[in-house]
Amino acid sequence: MLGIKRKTWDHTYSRAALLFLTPSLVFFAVFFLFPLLFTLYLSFHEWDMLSSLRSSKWAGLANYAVLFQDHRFLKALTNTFIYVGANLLLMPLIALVVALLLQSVKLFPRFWRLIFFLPVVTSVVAMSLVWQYIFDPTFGPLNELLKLLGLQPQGWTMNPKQSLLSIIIVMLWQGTGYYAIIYLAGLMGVSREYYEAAEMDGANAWQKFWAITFHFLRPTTEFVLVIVAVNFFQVFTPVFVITNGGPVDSSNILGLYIYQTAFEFLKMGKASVMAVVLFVLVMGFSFMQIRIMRRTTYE
Amino acid sequence: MKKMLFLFPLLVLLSLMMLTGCAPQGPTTVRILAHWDATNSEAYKALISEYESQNKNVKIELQTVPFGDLMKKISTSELSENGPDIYHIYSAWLPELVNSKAVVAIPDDIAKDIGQGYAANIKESVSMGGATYGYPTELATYALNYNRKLFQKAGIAEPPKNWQELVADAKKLTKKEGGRVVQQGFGVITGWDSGVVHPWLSLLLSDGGKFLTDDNKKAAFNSDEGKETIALYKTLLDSGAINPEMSPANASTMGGYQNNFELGHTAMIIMANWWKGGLQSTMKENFADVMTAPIPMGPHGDKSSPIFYSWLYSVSSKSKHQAEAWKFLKWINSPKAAGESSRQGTWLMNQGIIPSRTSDQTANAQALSDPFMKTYVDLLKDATPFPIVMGGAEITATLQKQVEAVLFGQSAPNAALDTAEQQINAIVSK
Repeated sequence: MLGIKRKTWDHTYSRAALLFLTPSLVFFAVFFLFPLLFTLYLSFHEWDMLSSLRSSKWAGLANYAVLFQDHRFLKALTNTFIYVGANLLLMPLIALVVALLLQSVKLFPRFWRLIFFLPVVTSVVAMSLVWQYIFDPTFGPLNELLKLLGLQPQGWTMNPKQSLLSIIIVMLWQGTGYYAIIYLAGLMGVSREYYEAAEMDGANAWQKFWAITFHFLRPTTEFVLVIVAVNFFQVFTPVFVITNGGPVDSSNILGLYIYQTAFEFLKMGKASVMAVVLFVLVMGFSFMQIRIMRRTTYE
Repeated sequence: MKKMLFLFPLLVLLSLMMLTGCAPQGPTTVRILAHWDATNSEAYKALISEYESQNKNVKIELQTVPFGDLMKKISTSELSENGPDIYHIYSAWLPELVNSKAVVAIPDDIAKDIGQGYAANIKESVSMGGATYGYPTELATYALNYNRKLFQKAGIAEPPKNWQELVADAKKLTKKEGGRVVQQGFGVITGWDSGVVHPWLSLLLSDGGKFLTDDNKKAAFNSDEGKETIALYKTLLDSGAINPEMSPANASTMGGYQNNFELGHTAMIIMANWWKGGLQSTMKENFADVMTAPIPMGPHGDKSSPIFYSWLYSVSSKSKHQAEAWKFLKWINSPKAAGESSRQGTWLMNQGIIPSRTSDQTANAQALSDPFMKTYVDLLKDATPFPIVMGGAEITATLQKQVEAVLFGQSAPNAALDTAEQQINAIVSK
């Protein structure tokens, strides 16, 4: 008898849970699952977006084969890895330093947090236009500053060797505040007692940072690294506005090349293959990161 | 009784549906999608109001996007059943739009009007496979623009007529400070496909070269003339007369290249007539120093022959109001009165753009003979249309990348042409 009641309760509970989850599931299916499956479908077809989908032609693996002979794609892929790699290396480092500074500052602490967080809430397009002007080799204030300091002005976004670096600088400036706030939240969770105990044992500042701060911030760092990878693999707007991938594709990244292939050359099949590659990269990279971080955490 | 209770609401519902169906319909809405800026759109809306006051049953809605987004907007609109009725398009996009049946061929009455009102080569530039796909609107071609004041300061009396003079003048007009070029003799554009390719092709054609073969099936620019044209860029670059850092254009076709010319940091540049309005509004009284001249001829050339392209109004195949759309287009493109310019022609002239209708060119002959515009108008007779070929955007982008590779020292001139030829042949062969 009890078993029957339990079953009925479980059944009712599951139905209720499903009912509550339905809006989220429908949203997920319409805006995530469907586009994902549609992209996969398109990657095996030739379609120009102008004609009806019914007139699209089956291409098999041709779009995949063409992709790896496309030098522009390989350049964009390489740039994407350099760009993501640089941000993975520098973003957590800078964000952690900023978070430590924000934690220790006693004069107007909220003001400083606001200052660092402002770029995060600023319009990306507006911010990119300002940076485009800052980097302008002829009129830009950055070169004027370099000249004032007696240094040689640079080509920045108009120099193929510096254009990707310029984009990385912008993204570090824009993203630091967000990741610093995440680190700051992590730092607030570290009990003062550990530091007091370490001080009693005669630990110096570096030992305290390494053994306590860095150790307790490991889950935060894990989260930051995954989010940085996911977000930065998909970057588009600042590159589109500041350099449009130039000069000579030196700052072109996968997100922008997908857009150009789809909407400028009207090759939805090839663009979809690139989107699939990007999806696999993001998933694989994030999965690998989580595995490595978990393994090192448990060790 | 129960049956009556059920039937009553049904009858009410049916009556309401019938009444709705019989109710007087609102005005037909015709939507136009174009890439005009805010000022020109406002001026266009005044024409729309005039049309609406004469046609109470029609409402015209103007939607505008930046040039860089226009084709994207068209392609996404085509996915909808309720997109714009009229597209204002660049003629190079016609093959893709016709191939996908996104636009319709002109009806008979419009064919008669276009046949009588436009020159054969202009009609040809909006036609494919024997069918015409819309009303030609603006014409754009390229000429050498130069800053008279900088020429005078450098002691140069006349604009260059050939490449030898071009190189010599560009060198004289170049100024360096601390090893950096602060005034370039000859400006180029980078980061915008047509901005890179059209001036380069204008030089190639003025050297007697060709872009594609006559049947548009293969690249033809990797020739002696093509090698001379890319070598010209390399010579100017090596001498410092071209400073690529002064060349950027953004996605909306504005940018550093224009600022540098307006501020007198660029002495010469090859550019289309449509930028006149922009230059005038920014340069104000300094615009008087902007002069135009034919494209300097190359060693194999016997005439200045720039690239030209046109724009057209076309009607979407998905439009439910095609007749109303063509009626409006005929109204705006027809002479306002006998011997007068069409509304479209006057609107284009106010922007410094050459109208394509013959009667508009005649009615605006005086305005078209101003020193800036006259060069462009004169050049049109020897201008070569940009090929109407499938993959036009990709071909342009491919050549752009290789010309830019030379400008930014990423590729040797002849190697760049070889790569461009190989890649473009692969695109057109499809």
